[in-house]
Amino acid sequence: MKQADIIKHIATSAHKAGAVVVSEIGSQTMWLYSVADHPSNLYLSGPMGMGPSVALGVALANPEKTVVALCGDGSLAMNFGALTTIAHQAPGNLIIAVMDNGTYELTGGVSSPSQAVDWEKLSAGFTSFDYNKVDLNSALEFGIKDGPQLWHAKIEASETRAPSFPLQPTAIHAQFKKEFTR
Amino acid sequence: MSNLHYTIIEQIHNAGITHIISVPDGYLAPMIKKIENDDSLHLTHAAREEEALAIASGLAMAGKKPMVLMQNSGFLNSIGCFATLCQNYRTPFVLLIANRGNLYDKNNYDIPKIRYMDGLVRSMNLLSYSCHQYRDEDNLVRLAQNVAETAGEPTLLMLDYPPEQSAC
Repeated sequence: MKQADIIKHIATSAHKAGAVVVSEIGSQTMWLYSVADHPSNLYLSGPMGMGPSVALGVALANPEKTVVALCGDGSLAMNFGALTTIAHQAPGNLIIAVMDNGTYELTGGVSSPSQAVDWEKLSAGFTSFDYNKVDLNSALEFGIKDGPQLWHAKIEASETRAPSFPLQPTAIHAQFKKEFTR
Repeated sequence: MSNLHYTIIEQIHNAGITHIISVPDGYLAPMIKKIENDDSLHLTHAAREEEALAIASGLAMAGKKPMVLMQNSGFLNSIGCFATLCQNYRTPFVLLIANRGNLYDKNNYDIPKIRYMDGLVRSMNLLSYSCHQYRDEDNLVRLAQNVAETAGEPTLLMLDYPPEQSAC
């Protein structure tokens, strides 16, 4: 499964359901823009690992709206503490979707230490995460749950760079706020 | 809890702040405990300071008024996040920072914190205001929030003297 394909599946399904998507710096932001651009996408360009934390803030802002954080396995490994904070807050409108290929794709496919992570066991170690494997055949649900979800997508390791990303952070901020608060 | 803690919490309410994200410090702990029992403020205990900045940025970009409480050493941990997220995306919110290592602190290990915090504030040209300098101001949090919104970036309030009953 290619990262671009599962991102397209998750994001287009999320958009149809009225959910918003927050993407981590690097290949998640670049592929999301390439395959499923939308005014409600919040594209991040730094720092690596803060996608779930930004998404938590967005989720807390409106508990009735589901938020999907698209993360890489390498980037999430940089900020596992975020899962602790999220589990403690336990927002039922937050989905952490991990694109797992065991590499840092954007930087040339260098191996990530996250290869050592068992994501199902990791999520089971928190009090409130619900773990699900997802793929292109998954019927994705975006309703409000009892707590946060961790979606695990096993994807191909690739050195193919996503197309370049032209948007500026201040423009992304303005567009997102307008869309989220209307 | 000191009068200063009560005053700041009252100012937080008056400023229209909706969400607090905190990482503890001895100066701030009594305030955080009080906020835990305040139904009109949503408190998030962040596991790490740069997370707190990211959560606040998400809230601000979603139209809310968050405020972050942390120690200066935690801010020093978070410069990459502050620069590439908070400043780059121009997310307006107030940070109340316990500026440890001030004249009233006695611990040797606090000294480097204020040395490098003060240097960082100058070198990054951050919007920063001393709580001690404005200690008679009744609306300091609201004024800082106004600066953050007008400038379109985070504003630092430096808690640079000890509340009467700080934990350490």
